[in-house]
Amino acid sequence: MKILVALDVNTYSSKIVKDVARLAQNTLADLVFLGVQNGTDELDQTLLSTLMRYQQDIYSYFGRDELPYAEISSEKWSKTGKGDWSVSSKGMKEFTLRILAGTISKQVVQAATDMECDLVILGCSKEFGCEWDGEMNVPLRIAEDSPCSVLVIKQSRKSDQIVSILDQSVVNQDALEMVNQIVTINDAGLKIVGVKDKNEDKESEIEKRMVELLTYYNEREVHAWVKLINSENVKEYVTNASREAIVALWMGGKQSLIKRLFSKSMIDQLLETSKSSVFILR
Amino acid sequence: MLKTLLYINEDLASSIALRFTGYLNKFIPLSLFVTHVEEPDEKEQVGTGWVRRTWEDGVASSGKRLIDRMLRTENIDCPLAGRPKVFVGDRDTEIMYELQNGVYDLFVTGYLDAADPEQFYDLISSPLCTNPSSPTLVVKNLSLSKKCALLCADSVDPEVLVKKSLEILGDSTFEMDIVFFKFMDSDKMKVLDLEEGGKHLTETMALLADAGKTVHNTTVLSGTPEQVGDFLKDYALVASTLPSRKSMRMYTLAYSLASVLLVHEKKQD
Amino acid sequence: MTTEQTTILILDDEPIVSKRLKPSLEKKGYEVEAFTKGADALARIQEKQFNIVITDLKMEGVDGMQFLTAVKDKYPDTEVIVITGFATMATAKESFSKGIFDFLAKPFKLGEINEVIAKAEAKIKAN
Repeated sequence: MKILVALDVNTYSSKIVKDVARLAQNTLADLVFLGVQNGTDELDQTLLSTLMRYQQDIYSYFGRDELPYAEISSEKWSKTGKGDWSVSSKGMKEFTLRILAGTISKQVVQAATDMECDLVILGCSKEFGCEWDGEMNVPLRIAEDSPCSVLVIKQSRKSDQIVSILDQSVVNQDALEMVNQIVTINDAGLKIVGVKDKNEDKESEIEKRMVELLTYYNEREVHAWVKLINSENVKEYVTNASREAIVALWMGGKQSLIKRLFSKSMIDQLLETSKSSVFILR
Repeated sequence: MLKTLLYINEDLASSIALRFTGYLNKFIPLSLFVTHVEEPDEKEQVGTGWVRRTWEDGVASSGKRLIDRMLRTENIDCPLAGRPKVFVGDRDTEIMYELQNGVYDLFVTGYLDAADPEQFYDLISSPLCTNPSSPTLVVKNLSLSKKCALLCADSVDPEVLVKKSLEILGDSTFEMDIVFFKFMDSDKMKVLDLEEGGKHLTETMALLADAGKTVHNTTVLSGTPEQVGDFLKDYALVASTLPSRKSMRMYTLAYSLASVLLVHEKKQD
Repeated sequence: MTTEQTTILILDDEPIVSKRLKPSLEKKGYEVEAFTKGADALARIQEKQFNIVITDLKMEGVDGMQFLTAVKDKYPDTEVIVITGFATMATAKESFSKGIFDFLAKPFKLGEINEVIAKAEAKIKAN
């Protein structure tokens, strides 16, 4: 698993480092710490030292003999392209620090695509909706445009419940596996909430999908509960659920009902109102 | 052995109910019968006499195939005590008729947990559940827990709850807890001191002790039905008396992620 | 072992994993056998040694940890790569204590596992 963590110098970023460390410690993931700066000429030294500090925080989270990453020297940063600096170490797993120049959301999405990441993690402020460095729409854009799953951590806390909302579209294997990891790491129960279109037949596709998932989790002794809701109630349900649990939205294929229901503004609203973390699954 | 009638259809709720019943059998030995009702549209219904009987036989055999398919797919871990019973007609009427004639100890039906508690109320206020010939187990989830709970509240008669619940759960190997529910509209559910449960809780505890039943945990919770319903998720099932109106306890049972065992005050003669 | 071709056994109860991995590895010249049932994979390792074994840890009715222990007990030279959808620190630690080569949490890209397999192959050839 390769995780890209978008970070800046603000408090909300420093607060997610512990969550990232816990995830990395459990999954032994390859990590990419990405910062984005304005100018293309010179490396932003404050951002660089912040990323190096976060990297040290991760390293110190691991025990002496457990660290799967090799040491990184600050002198080894190199410019690999215009407005593109990076340094990486290859132990058993790879750790990369990278700084790109440009617009934050665009660069994060581009880097996640180029580096074939499986998950993007970022924090956001909880005081005023879900904001990143004074801008309201950064987490939304990343959640919308990223090629892989995105976890937006609003408030770092251990949730004992993951509410996974899915519709009739095919359950993507990568997304399923991502949910499994989050459930395991949080030692949480999984609520599988099916969204049913009110026009659907009694024996709907979504029910079949839920049976498959319930069977899958039962066989693996993962506590899972099912719930079926009508599409007209989904927004209210998700907003309420996000108060306590990590909400995972399964943004399926082109025909995805959730995709239709959760317009950009709805994801934005969810990011704004959520008190916990929001997981956009792909 | 509890003589149990399980209603199945070809849907997720029945699939979960079938599996849960198999799981339940490990804790409470069941003598299990399954039933299905084929409900043809009025337009489909044809003729009288031999023509109608032939048509009904055809509909019934399609119902039998459905049950066979379900039993095969779910591979239920509980032997059936008799051949599946397939009826043609109105679902509730046919099941009620079978419940009354077959003298069952327990009726089990699946219910897919929905966000709208009114749907749950529609089910439990239907004649199928209010019919006092047997308690109803509404299977909502496949919670593979080894614990069950008695849900008490000020509106619950301790004597009925304990006596009737023990008729089903008395000899089971489930660990038993008591959860006392007090409504409070708040952002966070609170665990209160046991004294807050008042005389109803004291009486429930005393009755269980008299019956020789060990209670593992007793919890008094104050919160919303959603919060307490969510708390109940770690139980295989939660027993309570059948709510007769849309009370906060009814909503708690509606929001419960665990299956709900509804016991009645009196058994019909 | 007599064959020059590197042999790989994959055990994962999710058919999609083998379906995705097997053709990709065969294309790279590996000889691959894939199993979705632990009992079948266990029976196969009694008959044949594989250079590399890729196994899931949490499967229906199979304990992946027992399988990898059986592999390492019988063939200490076989390199075992653990892939798991339910990763925990404890499982990672236990796996490494049994001498596994690497631990990959799902989801992963094909490139990632190819790289790990190449490293395992290099280690085998160097020995």
